Amino acid sequence: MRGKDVRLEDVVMRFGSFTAVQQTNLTINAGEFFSILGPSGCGKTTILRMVSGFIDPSEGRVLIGEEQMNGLGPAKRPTALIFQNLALFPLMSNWENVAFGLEARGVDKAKRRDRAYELMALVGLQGHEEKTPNELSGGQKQRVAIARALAVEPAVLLLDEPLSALDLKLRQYMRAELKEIQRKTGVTFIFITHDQGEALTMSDRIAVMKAGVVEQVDTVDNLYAHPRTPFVATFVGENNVLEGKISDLQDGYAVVETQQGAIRGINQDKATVGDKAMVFVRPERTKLLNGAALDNTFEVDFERRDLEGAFVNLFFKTDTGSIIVHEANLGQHKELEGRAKIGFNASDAIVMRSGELSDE
Amino acid sequence: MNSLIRSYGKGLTGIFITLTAFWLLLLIILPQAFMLDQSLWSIDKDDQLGMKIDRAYSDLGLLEYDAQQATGDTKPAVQAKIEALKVEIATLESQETDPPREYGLQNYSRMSSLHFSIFVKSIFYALAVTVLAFVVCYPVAFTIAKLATPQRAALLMLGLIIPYAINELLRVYAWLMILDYQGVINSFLAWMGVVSFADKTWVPFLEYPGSVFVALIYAYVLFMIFPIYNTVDTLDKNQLEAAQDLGGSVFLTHWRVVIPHAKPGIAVGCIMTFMLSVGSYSVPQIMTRGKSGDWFSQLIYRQFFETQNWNVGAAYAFSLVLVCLIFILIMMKVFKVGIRDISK
Amino acid sequence: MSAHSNGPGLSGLILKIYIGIFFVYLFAPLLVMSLAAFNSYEYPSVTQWRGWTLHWFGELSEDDRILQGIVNSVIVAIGVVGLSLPLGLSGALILTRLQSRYTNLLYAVLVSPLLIPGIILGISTLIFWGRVSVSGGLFLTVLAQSSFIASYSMLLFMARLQRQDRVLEEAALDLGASSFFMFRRITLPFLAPTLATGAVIGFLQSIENYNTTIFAVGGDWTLVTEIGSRFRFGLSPVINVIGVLFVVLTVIAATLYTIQKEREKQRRAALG
Repeated sequence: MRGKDVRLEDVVMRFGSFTAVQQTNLTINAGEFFSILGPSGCGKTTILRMVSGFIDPSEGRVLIGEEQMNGLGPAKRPTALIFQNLALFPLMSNWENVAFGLEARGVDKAKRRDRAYELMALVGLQGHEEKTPNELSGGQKQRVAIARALAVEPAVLLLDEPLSALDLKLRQYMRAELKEIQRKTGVTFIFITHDQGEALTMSDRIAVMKAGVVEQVDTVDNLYAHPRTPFVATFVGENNVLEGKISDLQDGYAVVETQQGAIRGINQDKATVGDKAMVFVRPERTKLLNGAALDNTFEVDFERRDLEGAFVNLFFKTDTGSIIVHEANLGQHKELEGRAKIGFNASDAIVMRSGELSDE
Repeated sequence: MNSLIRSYGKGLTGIFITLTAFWLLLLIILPQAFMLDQSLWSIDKDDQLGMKIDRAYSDLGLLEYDAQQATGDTKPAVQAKIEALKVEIATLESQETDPPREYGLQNYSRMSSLHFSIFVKSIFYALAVTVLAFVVCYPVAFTIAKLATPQRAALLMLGLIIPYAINELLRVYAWLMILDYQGVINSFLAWMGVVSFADKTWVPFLEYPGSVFVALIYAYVLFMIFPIYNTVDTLDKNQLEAAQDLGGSVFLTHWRVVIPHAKPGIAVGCIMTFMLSVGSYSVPQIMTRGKSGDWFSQLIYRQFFETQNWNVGAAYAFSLVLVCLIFILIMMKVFKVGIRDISK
Repeated sequence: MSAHSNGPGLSGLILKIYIGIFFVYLFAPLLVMSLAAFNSYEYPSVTQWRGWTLHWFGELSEDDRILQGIVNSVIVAIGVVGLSLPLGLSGALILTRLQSRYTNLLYAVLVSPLLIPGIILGISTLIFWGRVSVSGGLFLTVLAQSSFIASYSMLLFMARLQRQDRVLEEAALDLGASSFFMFRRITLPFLAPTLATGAVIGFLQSIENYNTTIFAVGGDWTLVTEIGSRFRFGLSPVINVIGVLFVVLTVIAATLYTIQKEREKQRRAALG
C-alpha cells in the first residue's frame, strides 16, 4: 500500500443558496496523517465527501495523485472511508465485512477469506472472524471498520470522526493504534474531527476550518505556537485574550492600549496605529509574579484555583474577562487571595487585528 | 431522483422508474380515465338503420338497371345518381359498424329514481355499518392494545385472524345459515316454541337490511380493529394512569386522551370500512338473495353482465368512486389527518 | 398495574363480558359452517341434521371445476406476487428518495387502489384493457389484483426502508461495489424479511379476492368466483368442506409460525 497526495484546487461547494465550502486550495501530502479540525457545520465533512466521491464540487478540481477525480463515483476512487457510525454490515460476519470490497471486485472466495483473516490479524482481531459485528465491543468494531477499509488497498484513508462514539480511555488507546497503522501502511490518512486534542496528538499537519473557510494549514507545532487568526488562536489550545487599540509600533512589536494598560506583543498582522487589536498569550506563558516584573505586568483579582493533577489552573478576573495561568503543580498558591500581579513577556504574546473568536 | 441514481446507478433507477410508471399509468390512471371516458358517452342507435340500408340497396339495383337502359344524354345523370347513392350507403354502413358516440352527462342524469334511491340507500347503509363497526371494534382494539397481557393479546390477535382464514364469501355464507328462515336462530326459536316452521311464522331476518349489516361488520372487522389497535398501541400507558390519577372517569379518559391519540387510526378504520361496505358486491349478493332489495354494487354488476350497458355501468361505478373520495376528504378534514397518515 | 388500568371492577367486568360476546360473534359462524360440512343432508345446514358423514370431502376431490379453480387461483396468486412485489418495491424506493412537492401526490395516487372499492378496480381494468383488445381472463385478473396488492407491498417496503441505514449503502459503494452489486448484497438482504411477508400477504390477498376478480376474470374462474357462482346455481356442503380445509390450513400455518418464532426467540436468548 502506498499513499498518494490529495489536492483541492479552487474548490467551492454550494447547496442551493448555501455555500458549505468557500473557495479552497489544499494540498495533502502522500503518506501523511492530515487532520481537518473545526466545529460542527464548518464544512469539514463536505470536504471529506468531495474527496471520497459522494459529492462533486460546484467549482474547482479534486486530484488524487495526478489524476482528476471530478465525476468519478466513490467506487472508482482510490479512497476508503471510515464512517462516523462505522457502517458495518449487520447481516454479514466480520470477515465477510472485511472482504466485501474484494467480493465487489470479483476476488474468489478462498482468496478473499485469506486476505480478510490476515487483515483482521493485523488489527488484532484473531478469533472474531466468524462473529457478526453486533457481537463485538465498540473498539473491536472500530478495528473491523479499519480492516475493511484497508482491504481495498486505498491510497487515501478518510476517517469521519470515528472515535467520537468511544469512551475516553478507549479513545486514547485508539489514537495510538491509528497512528501506528498509518505508519505501518504508509497510506495517506485524512482525519476529520472537532476534537483538537485528537488532532494534535495524531496529526503531522492540521487544517483548521471555520464556516466553510480554511483558516490555517500548518504543522502541529506551528499551529500551536503561531496561530494566524483569532479563531485558530482560541480554537486550538487555550489562549488569554486582551482587547484594545494599537497605540505604537516598534520593530516588529505593537503596543496595544487595553483595560489592563499598554500591552506589548509581536505584531503578526503588520497592523498599524489605530487598528482595533487583540493580544493572545498562552496560559502557560502567563506568570503569577512575586515582585519581579516582565515586559507586560498588571494587577488582577484572584478568582479560584482548579487542580488538574499535574497542573493547576489559576483563574483571575479582569474588568472585561478572565485570565488563566497554567502552572506545574508543585503544591504552591494554596493560600492565594485578593489582588495579584501577573505578567508575560512581549515575545510570548501575539497581536492580531480583532476578529471572531472560537466560542468553545 | 439524484439520490436514487447516486445509490443505485442509472440502470437500476431506470428499472424502478419504468416499473412505477407501468403501475401508475397502466394499472391505475389509464383504467380510471378510460372508465370515466366510458361513462361520458352513449351510442344513439338508429333502429331504422338496417331498413334504410336495405332500401338503399334495392334503389341501387333499380338505378343500375336504368343505367343499362339509358341512352345518350340521360346516362351521365343516372350515373351521378348511382355514385351519390353509393356514398350514402357507405355512410349508413359505417354508422352501423361504428355508431357515433354522443358525449354528455346523460348516463348520470338518466339514473332512474329507483336506481337513485338505491344509490342513496347504499351510502346510508355503508355509513351505518361504519359507525356500528367503530362502536363494536373500539373496545376490542383498546383491550388488545392496552389492557391484555402480552400473551393474552397475542392470543386475542390470533382469534381475530382465524376467521379470516376462510374466504369472505364463506364467512358471509355462514351468517346466511344462521339467519335464514330455517336457519340456526329460527330453529332455536322454534325449539323454544316462539315460532313455527309449519305456519311459516319464522322471523324473516334476511329481509331486514340489518342482516347485511351484521355480515358486513363481520366481514370487515379487521380493517377497523387493526388501524385503531396500531395507534392506541403507541399511546404511553402513563398517560392513561395520569388521567385516572387525576380523577378522570373512564369515559373522560377515552374521550380526551385515547381517542384524540388514536385519531389517525380511527380515520383509516372508518375509511376502509366505509369503502369496503359501500363497494361490497359479495356480501349483499349472498345475504339478500333477492329477498330484500339490491345494493348499488349489485346494480353496477347487472349493468355490466346482464343488461350489457357498459356506459351506464361506468357512470354508476364512477359515482361510487366520487362517493368514496368525498368520504375520504371529509374524514381527513374532520380528523385532521394527512394522506401520509392513511397507510395501513 | 393491570388492576388499576382495568378501571373500577364493574366496568372491567362489563368489558370482559363484551370481549367474550365479541369472540362468540367471531367464531359462531365458523362453527356452524364447519359442522355443515359433516352433515349428510344434501344442502348446507346444521338444523336439518341427518347424521355425520365424510361424503362431501370425497365429492370435493371429484369436483373438476373446483379443483381447476384452485389451480387457477394459485396461478393468479403467483402472478400477482411476481408482479406486485417489484412494483411495490420500486414505488417505495422512489417515494422514500424523491424530494419534490409532487411526492405526496405520487404517494396518494399509488395508495389510491387501497381506498377505492374493489369492484371499481375490476371494472376500470376490464374497460381499459378491453380497448386494447385484452379481454377478461386470468391475465387480466393478475393485472387488476396487482394494482392494489402492489400498494400493500409498497406500504410494507416503505415501513422497512424508513429503518434503513443509508450509510451502509454508501459504505458499500465506497468499498468499490457497483450499484447493482450493492443492491443485491446490501439492500435486498435488508429487505428480505419484507419480501417474504409481502409475498405471503399478497398471495393470501389474491386467493381471497372476489370483488375485483369477478369483473376481470371473464370466462375463466378462480376458486372464489366458482364458489360465488354456486350461490346462484345450487349449493352443496362441498362449499363447507372448502371452508373447513381453509381453517385447518390456517391453524396449522399459524401454529408453525408461532413455534418458529418461539424457537428463534430461544436461539437469540441462548446467544445472549
